[in-house]
Amino acid sequence: MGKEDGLELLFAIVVDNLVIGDRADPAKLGRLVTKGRIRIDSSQKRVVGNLVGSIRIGNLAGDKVEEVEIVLLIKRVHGGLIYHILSAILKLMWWQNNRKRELSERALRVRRRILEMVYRAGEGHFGGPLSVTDILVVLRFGEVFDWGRDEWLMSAGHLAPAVYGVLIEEGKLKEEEVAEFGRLGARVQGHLSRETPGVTYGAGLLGQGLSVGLGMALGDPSRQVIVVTTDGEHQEGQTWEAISLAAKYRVGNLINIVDRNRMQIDGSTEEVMPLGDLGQKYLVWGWRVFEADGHDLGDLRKKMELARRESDVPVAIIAKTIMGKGIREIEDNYHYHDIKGMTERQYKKWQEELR
Amino acid sequence: MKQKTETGSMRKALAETLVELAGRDDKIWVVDADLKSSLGLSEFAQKFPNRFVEAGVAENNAMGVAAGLARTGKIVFVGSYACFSPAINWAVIKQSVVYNQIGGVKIIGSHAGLLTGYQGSSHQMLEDVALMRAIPEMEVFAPVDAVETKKIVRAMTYSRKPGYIRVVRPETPIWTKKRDRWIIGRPTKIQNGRDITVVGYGPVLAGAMAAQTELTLGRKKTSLEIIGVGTIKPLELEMIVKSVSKTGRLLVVEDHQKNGGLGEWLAASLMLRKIKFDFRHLGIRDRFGQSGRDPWELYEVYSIGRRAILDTIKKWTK
Repeated sequence: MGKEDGLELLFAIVVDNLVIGDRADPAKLGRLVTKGRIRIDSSQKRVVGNLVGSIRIGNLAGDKVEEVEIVLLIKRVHGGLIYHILSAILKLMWWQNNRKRELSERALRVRRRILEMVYRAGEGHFGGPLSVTDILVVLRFGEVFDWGRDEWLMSAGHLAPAVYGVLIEEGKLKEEEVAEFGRLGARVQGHLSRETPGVTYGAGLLGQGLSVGLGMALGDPSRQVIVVTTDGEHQEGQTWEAISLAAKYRVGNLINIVDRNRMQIDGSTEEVMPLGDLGQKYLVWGWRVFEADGHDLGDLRKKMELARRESDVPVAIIAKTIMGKGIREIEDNYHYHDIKGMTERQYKKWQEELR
Repeated sequence: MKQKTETGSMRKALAETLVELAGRDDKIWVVDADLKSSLGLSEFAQKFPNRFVEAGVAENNAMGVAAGLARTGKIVFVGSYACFSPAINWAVIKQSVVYNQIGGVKIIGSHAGLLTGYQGSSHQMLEDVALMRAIPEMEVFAPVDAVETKKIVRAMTYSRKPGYIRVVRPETPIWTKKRDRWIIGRPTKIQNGRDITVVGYGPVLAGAMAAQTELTLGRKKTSLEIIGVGTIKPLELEMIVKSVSKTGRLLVVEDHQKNGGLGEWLAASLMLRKIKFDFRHLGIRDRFGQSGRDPWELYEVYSIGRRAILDTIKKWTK
């Protein structure tokens, strides 16, 4: 950085009736409120600063914008300054929020499909698919990985409804197939089947997927292999065998995203078979660890990006999630790990919530 | 009547064939579970270090990793004692390998059967054929001798299905000829005969050969038609059907539990084809193994050796 003028500018910009993007949707008009602290380095004609702000659009709750560093070339020191700052902020926030909004909408659609599948089938795994949804949406649509080259697999086969929800999003399965879940002859089998388009690993027994992902990563070091596991799955000893071997061979292209919702069939994980600080355990085993808010799309994306960049050792992302996320009534309740005989009343009520 | 004094090691034959194939084909990898010297895989590890994965005492993970490697186009031999793999990791084989259609995984079950010897019951796998036959699509091989072992390893490497091969610890007699072609599915005629069809896999057939020697010295010139089934699944039945139709008598001998072994299945298959035959079955009768310094003596103790075969035949042809 060059010589500083030492001029600090504290500002607040409030703009009403902001139109975001090309489509002027009256329901989406909102307020942009942002404040920050910037330094003006006029010798280099640059403005550098940190901005933290929030944007409220329509009825959606405010999205937090991450701290970003914006470097602008300013044409005029004073007159156009505010304008340029504002347009840079808007561009960045629009991009981030548009993407995040898009991801958010996808996640909502996936959750609706999960509800649909489990209701129509009369039974199914429920809480887990709901808790892993955001992870899968960011993984597949967050533009972190190169899906022409990288590979992923879901190790927990019972999270199939979430995977199918995402595969429909990807266009590999048809929307109508939500009515077929678990039916004879359906592509959407009760647990993941290798025969289903887009399913990369036919799973059902827990604890094996990380081994398989490790083998894939060893076999082709040029691509990333992302395995999605559940915390409960870590009670299977084979998981730790794989963790050990991955550390031994420093498999830097392997990433394990853990759906840490702290629940399993018979109760909370910490009551049934305590896992404790999973992240710490991975660290001791020789992995690199990131912790993420498993329902904050921006945070998930950031941590996946960081994981992708780590190439020396395998990476675990411990994603803090809530079982049943999205349907308040069942959140954090292990009794909804799976559900049988969902009533029409429950279905309609929960449908409303996922709107 | 063949007098076979030449012996060979199946383990060595397997390991040598792997090294030979791997020298020509860099798709071939090995995953080991802390038994590389015992399985004769040290040479492979030394010559192809970038294609050798040492998983330690972790058979479940070893199998899963083999499956993952095979998905990237490798042909992966994953080896251990049969009492560990497939015994411990059977479910990983079923799901991660076979259910996921991974044809490139080839499983070595070494030290199979009673011949493991002094190490005792825990190391004498008597149920592996039952376990592996039961998995859909899995090919199951049990070479008769070291010569056949080489042919089987070559064939299974390039088969599109996942495969299991059972080999034993000690050196065993050789009866098959190097020049004979071996095909997946086709059993091997070791000796022609008129009176009794003896079918078996692995070195139990030594007992049948020895029994034949003794029979020809007696007054009754009972001649045995001996068929070695190196390919338990798939198995084409034509040769056996033809033989049993001729002799009317089938004796199956196996170093394996009778439950779930070859004998039950073979007898049922012949019955389904409406073949009329008399059946005898020598195998492990629902019990565990035990230590013994002379592995061949164990065969006698468990009634699958020369003595039991002779007794059975003598009573049969009275």
